[in-house]
Amino acid sequence: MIRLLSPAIFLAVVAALAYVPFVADSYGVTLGIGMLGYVTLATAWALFSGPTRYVSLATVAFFGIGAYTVAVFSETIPYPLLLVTAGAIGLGVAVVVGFSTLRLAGVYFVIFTFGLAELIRQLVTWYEVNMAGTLGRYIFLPVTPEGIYWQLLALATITFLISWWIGRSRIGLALKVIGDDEVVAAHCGIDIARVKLALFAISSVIITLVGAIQAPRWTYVEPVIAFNPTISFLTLIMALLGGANRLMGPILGAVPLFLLFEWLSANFPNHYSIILGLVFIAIVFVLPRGVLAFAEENWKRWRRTTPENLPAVAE
Amino acid sequence: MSELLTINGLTKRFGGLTAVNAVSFSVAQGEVVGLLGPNGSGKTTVMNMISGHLPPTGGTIALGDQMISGLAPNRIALKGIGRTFQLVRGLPSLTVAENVIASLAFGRRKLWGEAARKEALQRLDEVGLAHRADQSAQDLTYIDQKRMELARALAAEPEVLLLDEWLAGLNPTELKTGIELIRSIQTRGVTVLMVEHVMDAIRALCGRCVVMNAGRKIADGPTATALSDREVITAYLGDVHA
Repeated sequence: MIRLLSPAIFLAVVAALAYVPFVADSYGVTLGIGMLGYVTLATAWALFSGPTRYVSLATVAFFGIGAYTVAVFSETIPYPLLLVTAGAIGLGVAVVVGFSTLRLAGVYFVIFTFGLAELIRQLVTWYEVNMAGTLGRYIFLPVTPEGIYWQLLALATITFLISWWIGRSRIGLALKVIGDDEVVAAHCGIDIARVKLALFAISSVIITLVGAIQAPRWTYVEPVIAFNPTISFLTLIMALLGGANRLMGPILGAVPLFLLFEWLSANFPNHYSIILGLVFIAIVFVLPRGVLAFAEENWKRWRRTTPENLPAVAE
Repeated sequence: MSELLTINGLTKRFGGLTAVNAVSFSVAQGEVVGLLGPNGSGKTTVMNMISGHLPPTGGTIALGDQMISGLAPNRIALKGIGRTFQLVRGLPSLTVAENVIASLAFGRRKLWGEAARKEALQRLDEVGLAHRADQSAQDLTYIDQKRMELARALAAEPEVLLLDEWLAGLNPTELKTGIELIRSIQTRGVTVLMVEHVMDAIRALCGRCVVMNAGRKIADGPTATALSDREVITAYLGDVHA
């Protein structure tokens, strides 16, 4: 029963989401684009960083690469190929970065990925100013907001399915073993570098595509917009809030936080950053392992203390 | 007897400290050999170099006619060397069965799904842990964690099994069970190299012992002979007793 039920629910949710642009107004579609974007980013981020516990702040590096690829080639490459090109560039960068960094562990990896995003931003700025002679670029593409919405929905669906498949596959177990103890992982015969590189590449390509698909929404991009580090932090905190080790975790974190930030930026535009920081701190302090883990632990504790589940002493 | 594991001039230096100094010995197919020595004599470093956890500074290690020194630990594991660790290393976020499946899925046999689960349960049964298969590995007691680690190492069906103080910290009853377990591994034809301090276990299990002191090999021979060697007694107890 459950075997049939879960795919049915999944299909129904995707179908309902696909129908949204027919009934929602333009603000609704915009909201949907933002939400689907962050759901995909958080799920893709958790794909690699969840089980391995390698906290990556390079999200915006790949997101920006996607957006900039579209901006640079929008007039020379036809649209669907444009996404393929962006994905390929994202993959190339991910492989090079992966090879050089995955030996780093813990805080060094975090700092490296943060530095990487800044480095790419500065390189793009330098190139634009000194070579292209411009800082901003216009993107004129005949893609409607609805089109962007559906593309993001498709990407989110694929990302979710990849995450589900990995969780059940051999590579998923390899990632968990690596996350627990790399020495044991190697002694079990796992090629740690290869597994990490593969996952980092998949995750990075998806993130690149999110940037590429969303780019036409902006019409105008410059490095400060496309490589805004807040995107990395938001993705990270959304995945952590939901629980980066669970399939549904990133989604459960991304949806409420996205709505919260949307509301905050509309109502408190001047204090947005301050409140954002406070929310970050609150999440790390109160729910370090995510809402799902928190709920599960309390559920277990609650069940253990309810009287009807105690062994029957009276007999 | 054919030599299965051949160690030649093995050396490890950490900066100015020579932890293992030109050690050579070999282990024949089916043998259970004890690697002894006072604390800090370099036994675990030797084990770590055989399993690939540490790269040797010099010397060679061969498994059969294949050179394995300097290979990555995952490559060495696939060639047929399994091990347990001096400080037990479970995988706490996995269940007990999944701990064993980890070595089945990525080891030489690449088992997965139902086949892997069945095999894992069988391996856990061999070490008396089948009833805890679906518990979280972090909830196990110390001896059960050791059992799980042994099941994980054995699941890979290694040709050579390295046991690093696997019997340490067990109470007398557990020790007896542990000795029986290792003996059953031996009867299956697995070659064992074990670092151990428990003398009863060494006398019961090891036909031959290699004794190290301060990074050098000081004795190598049948257990009774090696243990009564003058230099060995000096290393353990000091000059007065020798």
